[in-house]
Amino acid sequence: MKTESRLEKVISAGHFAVTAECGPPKGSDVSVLEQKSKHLKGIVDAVNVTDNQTAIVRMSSVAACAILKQMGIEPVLQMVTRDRNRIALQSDLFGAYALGIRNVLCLTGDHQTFGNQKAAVGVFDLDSIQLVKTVRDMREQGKIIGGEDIQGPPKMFIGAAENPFADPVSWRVVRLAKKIEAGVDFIQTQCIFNLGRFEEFIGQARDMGLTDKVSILAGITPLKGVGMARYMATKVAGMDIPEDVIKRMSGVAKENQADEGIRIAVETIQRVREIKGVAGIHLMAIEWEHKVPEILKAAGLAERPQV
Amino acid sequence: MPVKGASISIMETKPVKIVVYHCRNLQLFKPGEQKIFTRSRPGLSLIAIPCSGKVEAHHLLTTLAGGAQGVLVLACGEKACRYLEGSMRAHKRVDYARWWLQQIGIEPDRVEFVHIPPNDPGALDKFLKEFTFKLESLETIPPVAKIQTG
Amino acid sequence: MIVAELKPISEIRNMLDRYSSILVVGCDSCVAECAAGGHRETMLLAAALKLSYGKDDKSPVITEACLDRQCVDDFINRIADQVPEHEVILSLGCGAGVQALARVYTDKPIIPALDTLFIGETQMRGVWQENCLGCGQCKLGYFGAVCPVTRCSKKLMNGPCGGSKGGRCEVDNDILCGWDMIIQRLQALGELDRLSEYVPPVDWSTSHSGGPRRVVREDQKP
Repeated sequence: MKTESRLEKVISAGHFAVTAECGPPKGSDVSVLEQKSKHLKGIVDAVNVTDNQTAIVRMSSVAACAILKQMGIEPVLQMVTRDRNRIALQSDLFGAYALGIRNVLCLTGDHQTFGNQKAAVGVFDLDSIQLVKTVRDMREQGKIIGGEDIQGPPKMFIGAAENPFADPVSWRVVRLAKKIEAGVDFIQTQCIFNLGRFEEFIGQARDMGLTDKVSILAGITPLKGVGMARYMATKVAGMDIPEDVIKRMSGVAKENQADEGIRIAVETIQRVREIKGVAGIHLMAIEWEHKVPEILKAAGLAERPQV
Repeated sequence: MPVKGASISIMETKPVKIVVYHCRNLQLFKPGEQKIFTRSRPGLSLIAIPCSGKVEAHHLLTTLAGGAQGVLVLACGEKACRYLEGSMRAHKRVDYARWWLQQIGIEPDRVEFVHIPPNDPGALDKFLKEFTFKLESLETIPPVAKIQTG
Repeated sequence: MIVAELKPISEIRNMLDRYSSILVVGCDSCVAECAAGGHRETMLLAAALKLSYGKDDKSPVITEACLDRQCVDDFINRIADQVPEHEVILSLGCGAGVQALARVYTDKPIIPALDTLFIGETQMRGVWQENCLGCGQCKLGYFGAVCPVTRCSKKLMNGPCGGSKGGRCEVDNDILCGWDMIIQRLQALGELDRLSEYVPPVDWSTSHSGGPRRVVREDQKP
């Protein structure tokens, strides 16, 4: 065990891990977090807290993680390199660890032009791979960038994201290898609708011996309706939603589409469980957190291990 | 002093200043004919150029700033241009000059790009009559200080 | 070269309206190449200003001049006789030119007519592309001569982000993904192995992050 992370314990013990996601409020309203965590507490192994996702200003991820921790939930701190330089990032890692956070997901972040502060400067002092290595060096060597010793080094379980569907496709496995080199412990993928392509990606990773070195959690997002499916297929970067999925959603009456979306999600979960090299799922039911227990129950994953 | 509004009285007392840049390859005038053409049309200046593509956007605005009320660029058809791209470039430059006029708040129609058939001064005459009529209905651009170059 | 664009004439007029004699000065180097501030554009702007003022019943003195280069004193000094005769200089130089004029003509307000944008190349007539951010630590040799700092919207050094789609950047479909270009070029050159190596955090202290920069060469001084 490299850390005190509960998520690491679950994975090391050989269980199929389940993580979910929670977006902080667009302000200081803690009750939003209380509402969301009601549906997730005890249902999943850890909960990701997003970091100003799509460059929209929300409560700081570190603060929201600390609040979730107080509520008895294991948080995964998402950290983007878009908004903060290496001084702030390393400082936040110290603070997060001091507040009891044990997992961090290192990301670059959506470009600032996507959000509600389009005129902001994009920092990008580090990229996500450099951030992974920084967190790893903190844990393994007790040093910050530049080599100075840390007074009480944070020991985080390190995650990163991977998108098997982004271009250039040939490059995705090479980039995964680079992240593992840099120190990544677990990967959460972009949400999967194209199972064929995902299987290919895992196959390539397996062939390169990468699935032995890193725990890959397959991303799952339940579709609420055909509108959402079409929007994601056309407007969201790096998304691959095959035509037959959209046909399946549109072939059902509007009031039944949400249920169909959940059915598709459950089927996807069942299929990825069978792929050798997949260590768990990352369920992203954004603004639909109350559906998480239902989905996990239908997929046979409702009983979380006590570690 | 700037004169606003009244059109008929201007026509009778002050001829509208128009400058026409015409491509030599249109062969509109035989030797000596250009002078005769302009003599009977006060306010008109004809300037022959080796290709319509010789005209640039700044020439057009400078011509207006120098006192012309309207500027025409007469060009060969875009596929007929002897220098291949000249006519096409001239067209783009006239469009650009018109955009500038719009930004300033002056009528873009004061500058026009025209295809006249070769050897056809009659066609020019017809166009000039219409152009003059149009210009007379617009507010006169007031006379501007002489251009000084450094 | 440096690429700039002409400001809207309304903005230029706003900045100039308190003055009654204006010396309009162009630059025939970079900004002439990008058709923003060369002698042609200077003549055009001067004529446009005259027409614009005339429409408002105003007639400030407007004089045109053009320098070969507006960032070098030897050229800047060539308008020394005309400057005292005018209240203001309207510069069609890039930001460097505007400020160099201010350093030389210390008692004259200098107004910029251009918005200076970037260091870039002329891809074809009428199209200019940013390609260098002056980071001060050129690593182009490791990236197939495509700059990850400039051509990648996020300055990534270790490969593309998840938003790259069809060779295009997530920010705008008109922006080519810098990393896609790097990978393709290295692939064509047979040097893709250069990208398997981890690139550590960049030292930004040689860029503007370290403060405004200065180069001094004693061997070049008079």
